Amino acid sequence: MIEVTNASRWYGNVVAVNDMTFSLGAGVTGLLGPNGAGKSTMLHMIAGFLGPSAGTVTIDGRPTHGDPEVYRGIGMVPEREAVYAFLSARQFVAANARLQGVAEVEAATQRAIAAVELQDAQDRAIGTYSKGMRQRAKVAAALVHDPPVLLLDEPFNGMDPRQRLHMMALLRRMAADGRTILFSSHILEEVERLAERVLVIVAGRLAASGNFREIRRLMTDRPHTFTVRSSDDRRLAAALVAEPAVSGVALDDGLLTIRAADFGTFARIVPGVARRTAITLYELLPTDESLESVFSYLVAGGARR
Amino acid sequence: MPPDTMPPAPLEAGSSTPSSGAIYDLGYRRYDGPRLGRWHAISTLFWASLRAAFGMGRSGRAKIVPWGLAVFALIPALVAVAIIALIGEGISPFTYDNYLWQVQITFALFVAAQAPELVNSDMRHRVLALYFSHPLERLDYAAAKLGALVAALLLLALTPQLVLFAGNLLTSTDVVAGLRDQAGALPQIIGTSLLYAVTLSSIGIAIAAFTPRRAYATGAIIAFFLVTGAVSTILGEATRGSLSDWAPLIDPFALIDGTRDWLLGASIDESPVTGSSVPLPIFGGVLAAVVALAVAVIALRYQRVEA
Amino acid sequence: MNGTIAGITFRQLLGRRRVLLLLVLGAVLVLVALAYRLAGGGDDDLRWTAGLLENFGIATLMPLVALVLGTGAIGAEIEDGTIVYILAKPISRSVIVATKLAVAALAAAALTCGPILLAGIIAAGGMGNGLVLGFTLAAAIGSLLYAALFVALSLVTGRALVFGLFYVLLWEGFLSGLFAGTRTFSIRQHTLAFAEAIGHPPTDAFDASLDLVPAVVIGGALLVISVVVAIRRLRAFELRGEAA
Repeated sequence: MIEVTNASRWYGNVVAVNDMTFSLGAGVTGLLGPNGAGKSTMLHMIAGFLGPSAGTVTIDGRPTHGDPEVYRGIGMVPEREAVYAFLSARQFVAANARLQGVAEVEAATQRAIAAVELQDAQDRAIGTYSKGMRQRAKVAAALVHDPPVLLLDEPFNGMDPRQRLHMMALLRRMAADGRTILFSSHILEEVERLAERVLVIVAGRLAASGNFREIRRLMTDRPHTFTVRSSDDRRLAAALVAEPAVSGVALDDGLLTIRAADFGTFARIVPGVARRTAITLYELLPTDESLESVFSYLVAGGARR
Repeated sequence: MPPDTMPPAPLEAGSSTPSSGAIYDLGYRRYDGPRLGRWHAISTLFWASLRAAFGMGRSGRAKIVPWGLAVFALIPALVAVAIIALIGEGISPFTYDNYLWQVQITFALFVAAQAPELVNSDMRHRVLALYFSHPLERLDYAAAKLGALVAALLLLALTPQLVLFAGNLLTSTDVVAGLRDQAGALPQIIGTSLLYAVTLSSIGIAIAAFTPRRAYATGAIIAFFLVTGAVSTILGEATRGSLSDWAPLIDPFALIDGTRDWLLGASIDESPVTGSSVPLPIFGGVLAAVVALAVAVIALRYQRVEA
Repeated sequence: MNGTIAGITFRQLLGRRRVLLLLVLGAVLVLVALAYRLAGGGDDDLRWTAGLLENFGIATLMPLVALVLGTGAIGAEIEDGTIVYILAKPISRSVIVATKLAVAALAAAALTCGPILLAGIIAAGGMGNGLVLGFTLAAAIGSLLYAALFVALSLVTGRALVFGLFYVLLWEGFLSGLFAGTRTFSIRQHTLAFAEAIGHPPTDAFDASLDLVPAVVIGGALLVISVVVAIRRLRAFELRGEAA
């Protein structure tokens, strides 16, 4: 349905989107990438707010830019927080419904508001809402005309875990109805939980695409790093390095760092080693791996392939 | 912290001088040297604000407005010099007395456009706290900002008059005699410019300090100057009663001109001060009161504002 | 014309603190007229009224009101990003521009013509032989012309307010005083021409410097050009993403 073919977008010397090609159908797709990667630009191109400098961006064969009629079939939830603060959620969603030419404005408004669970607060001015409630109001406004394509730019910003779960359930339901849903995020866990399919964007390029589990599996080839605190770091290190699952140990400034290629086996053997050597483990932490390093691995991995 | 030294490298066979190596700690170090203190902070802020008033250090688009206005204020002087050069003396439409009066709108616009630039950006982006965490008192900040705008307006006002001065000099037959003649005008040039600069800056910054957003501040400042000017003109045209006599006191530009007339002599036809029977020292008094009020308002505002 | 957009724009323009400034300006106009009356008036009321309505009403109040409302009609939404809710709809860009312009012009006319009418009646002690009516109706037309210009300006530059001030104060004010030719391209002069043509006031009270025909032609052309420019800029408008 959404077809992006060799699309690029540049501003003078800065290339925001670099020769991307993909197509999307029904279901939930996540646009994943670090900040500044070009996710928003790509999303805005699909939404018709930007024209591609090269290539084409079409929905059902129609180019999205320059044609106000495409908006009958698109619902857009922008990232910027600002909304008409003086309107209540009901008025805001109803206004969007009217602008879309929806036939039964009241009914559609109530349906949309119920879908995002804003019924109780719908008559208060949006200016008084919390960040998460404002996001929900924006989603309701994007849903009110029942569009087959839904685009969301960082939709989970400012939502607490409960709201996030509810929003995810809503999006999954809509996808099951046959809608095409595309959302952007820089948080791995959100994309992991919601998207059936992922497009990973790094520096304007498509670094990886496809089923998320596949991509995750690719990343497990890379050794995991753990930090350990124990009653005797040095002896523990000596014992661990003898195990085949461990690829390296390092002792810096009193901090024991372990690299393990096979995460599963390592997790199994550590307690046994500790008991055998009579060392007490106080703490075992996987070190946070930055998203950027993961992605650069992905990019490098993609180049090698 | 003293540098860590490694033991000297082993001597090479045959060499007579010992070699040594050292590794230096490049970690974070405190600065324990002399610090320049409060006065330097004030002057730094002053110069930075003066540059900001002319859009220096920013993109070209930020320079259009201030420099455009500066050029606009300068053009009549250039034209006048050209006229003198081509046609001869005595035909110039501008004298040192009335030049600034004629181009007053450019000053009003400059203040309306740039006072918010100096004042409102800091407030909007909540940088005041950063400023006040340095040895810069709140009043120092206000003084530096106000001083910078005064200096900017001085530059704006002096340049065309000095161009006129130079033009008069260069087109006179005897430069030295011309210099002697024209030199008498220097107090007029400098004094008038100072009056305009101080008055307009203090009013502009006082208004800008109270408005939350830049666009509102610009609108409010220009509205103030336009409305006071219009009301003063209109009431001045009412021919009956003291209303028309006292009308010029509403207009800050008329106040400036009246004070200039009082202190430096020479009235000009275009100014409403000429037709008014109000004694000139009153203009001076009211002007002083207005400026004092504006400065007090600025001081109070910056003492109280939440950083 | 789209009712929903009109409603939102009205609330946006008139629901803010800046409207207070505009109301105060109008009030000052009326107060000055009152002060004149209370001070006993003058020798020639009609002439003074014409001066008041020309110098304060048309030359100060009308452009300031139109500037604030005209640059705010679309400019405010572009600045805070809410324009996306209007643009992401199957509504033609010309309808959007026409609606917002109509709202801005109507609001500007209301905030200008009301005080002018009131002040004129007070100062002239009546309708002043057509003077007051002429100025009031002309102010409505002038508000429309200004609003169109400033709406187009707000789609061309982010600093529409300052450049609008340049136009009003430097072009229409300063330069028109020096060069008579610039008056042909001054909305202020067009409005004064309309005031004379509509009200037929006595010439010793008020005489516009521009004739009606050039005012209609140039003013009309300015209106059309402004609207066309605005529509074209809105069509080509691009909304960048935050993380672009």
